[in-house]
Amino acid sequence: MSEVAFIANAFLNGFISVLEFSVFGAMMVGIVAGMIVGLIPGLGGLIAQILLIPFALQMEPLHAYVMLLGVYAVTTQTDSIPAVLLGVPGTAAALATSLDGYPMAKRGEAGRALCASYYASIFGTFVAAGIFILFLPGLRALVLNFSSPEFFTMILLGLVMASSLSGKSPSRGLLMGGLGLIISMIGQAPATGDTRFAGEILYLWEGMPLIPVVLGIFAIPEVVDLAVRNTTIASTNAGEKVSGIVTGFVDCLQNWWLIIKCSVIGVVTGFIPGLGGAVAEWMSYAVAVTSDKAPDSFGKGNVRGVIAPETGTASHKPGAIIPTVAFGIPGNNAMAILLVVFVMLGLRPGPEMLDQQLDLTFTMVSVVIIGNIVAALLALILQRWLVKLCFIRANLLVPFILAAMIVGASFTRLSFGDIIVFVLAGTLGYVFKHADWPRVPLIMGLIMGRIAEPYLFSTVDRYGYEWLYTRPIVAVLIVFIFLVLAAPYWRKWRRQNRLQVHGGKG
Amino acid sequence: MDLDRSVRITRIVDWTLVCLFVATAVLFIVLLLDLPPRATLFPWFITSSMVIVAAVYSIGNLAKPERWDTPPQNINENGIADHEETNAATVGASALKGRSREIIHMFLAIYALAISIAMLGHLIAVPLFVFIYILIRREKWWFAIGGAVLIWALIQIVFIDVMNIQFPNPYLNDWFGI
Repeated sequence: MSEVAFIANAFLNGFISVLEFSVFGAMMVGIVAGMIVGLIPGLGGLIAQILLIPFALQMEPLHAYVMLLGVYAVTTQTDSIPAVLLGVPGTAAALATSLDGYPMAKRGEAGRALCASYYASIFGTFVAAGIFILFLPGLRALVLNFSSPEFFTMILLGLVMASSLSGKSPSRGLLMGGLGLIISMIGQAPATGDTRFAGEILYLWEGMPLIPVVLGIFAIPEVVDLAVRNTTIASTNAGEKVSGIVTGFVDCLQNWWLIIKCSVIGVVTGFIPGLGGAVAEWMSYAVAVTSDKAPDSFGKGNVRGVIAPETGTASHKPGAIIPTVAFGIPGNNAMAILLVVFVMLGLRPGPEMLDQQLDLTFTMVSVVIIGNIVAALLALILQRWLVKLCFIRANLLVPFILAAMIVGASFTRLSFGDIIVFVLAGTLGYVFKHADWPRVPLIMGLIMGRIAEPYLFSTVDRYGYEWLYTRPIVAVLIVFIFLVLAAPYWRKWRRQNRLQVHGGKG
Repeated sequence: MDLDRSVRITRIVDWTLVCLFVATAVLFIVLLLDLPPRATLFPWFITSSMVIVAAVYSIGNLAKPERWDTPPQNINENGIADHEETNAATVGASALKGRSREIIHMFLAIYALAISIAMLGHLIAVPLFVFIYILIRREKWWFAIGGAVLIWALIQIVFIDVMNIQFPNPYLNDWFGI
């Protein structure tokens, strides 16, 4: 009972703290920025987060967390507006939505599709938060029993999972994760203070700065592509009057079971590092198609094809908070960037986040819930005007985004070294992006190397090397690591078998 | 086997990256030799093993390019290929084909911005970049001026005056003793 009371109390405290004036204000800044930038195809929530990092680093930690989580919560809300009204999905999360949303808009049901997508996001977030609370006691019991060997192995598992699951090639992911780990070791060794791999370059003695690397790797490739494409995204008439508030709500109520199924998919995919929102979206869409009596109606304007992906992507977000705060393993790109900022502002992922700092964890979950509701309301009221942002030319956006990014990159150590790192990381990021080498494992290796090294050091100091075979949780996690590494081969073998069977039939 | 040009380029980039990663790992391992064992525990235990395993794994894949060139597709229970995962970055990627000159120009612009910040400082270089970029892209001159002023105000008022951020002194100032 005391456990339930503890969790309930933490939830209430977390929820109430979001409603404080200054905290709510910071969240609203994040929400508005996320809505606007999330709406512009080619930019997306990642850029919105990156643009706010310089400001976040100068703010009170709580305000900074809330502002960045506000961005994180809402970017997939507004990206459905151009996806439905114009048939232009600006982010991966809106791709499936546009498949059925746009045909609905063409037959005059844009309002119904958009409202259904907003309500689906809200319901999905609620169900995900419910699942989070439901499993929290078990998760707490597990995490509070963890010691340094378990945390170290868990981090290793997270990194291997992210490396294997991000992108199309596990080997590329593993190499990128390895590179991230190597880069994380530049600077002073935490155990001895010896300088490693930095040579005579004083700038590197403090280690490789995270923000310029993250900004360069993720943001420069997007901005360069945006500049080169330089397109207004559509010439369609966007002035359609949007209605359908009640119809969209009824659609969601009628599909409550689909919402629950997709929410579970979202939470699970959010929990697994390396599976982004796009996986949640397409898995949810696939569930909607396969469970429908008329699967042929999908792609032609079936409202379930809007509800399912929106629910999946929305519920993916609270799910991704859990591994980030509990284990320091970000569930997706956005969470990887948030984790960088969290760590810089003094937040230490680990068991405290589910114990002494549970209030803060619930504040984060509450921001995602409240952010979704506020964004849905704002989108309902403002969508006719918001959609006009889709028509801003890249020529007018690029210099401002680039200027904000380069200024933001130089905040880390206020040195020209920050800018050099930013530009070099950006060049590499562009090559990685277009050669299809996943960037998430690199960033995860960079972040998690710094967290993992002290854990390994204290583990070997306390237990020698016996921890590898004497601790049951470690043994289970090591088995999981091997399973994750073996999974691609197993999938390949199954795929070949299936193709042979189908080829034989054909 | 007559390979498509883009496939050949992709394969060259892949090989280059793999070689670069392995070379980095080897270099770091050599650098570890001078350090005390307590500082090298993590690098030896994790990085070298992970990078070597990953390198072997990749070389195995590269040795069979017919698999490498065909990205795997998920086959669902009905034997039908699932939708390929698309990220935001790939939306409109086809529009980039054959535009390598513009990509190089864009990177040159970024390098020029970085160098000019080092020489002139943030307060001059960044607004100047915004102004020149908008003009070169043949947008209206008054928008270029407005954008430059806006960025200048953001840096001066928000970052320097309100947030008290001390940007590094530009090299030209150092050289001329300003």
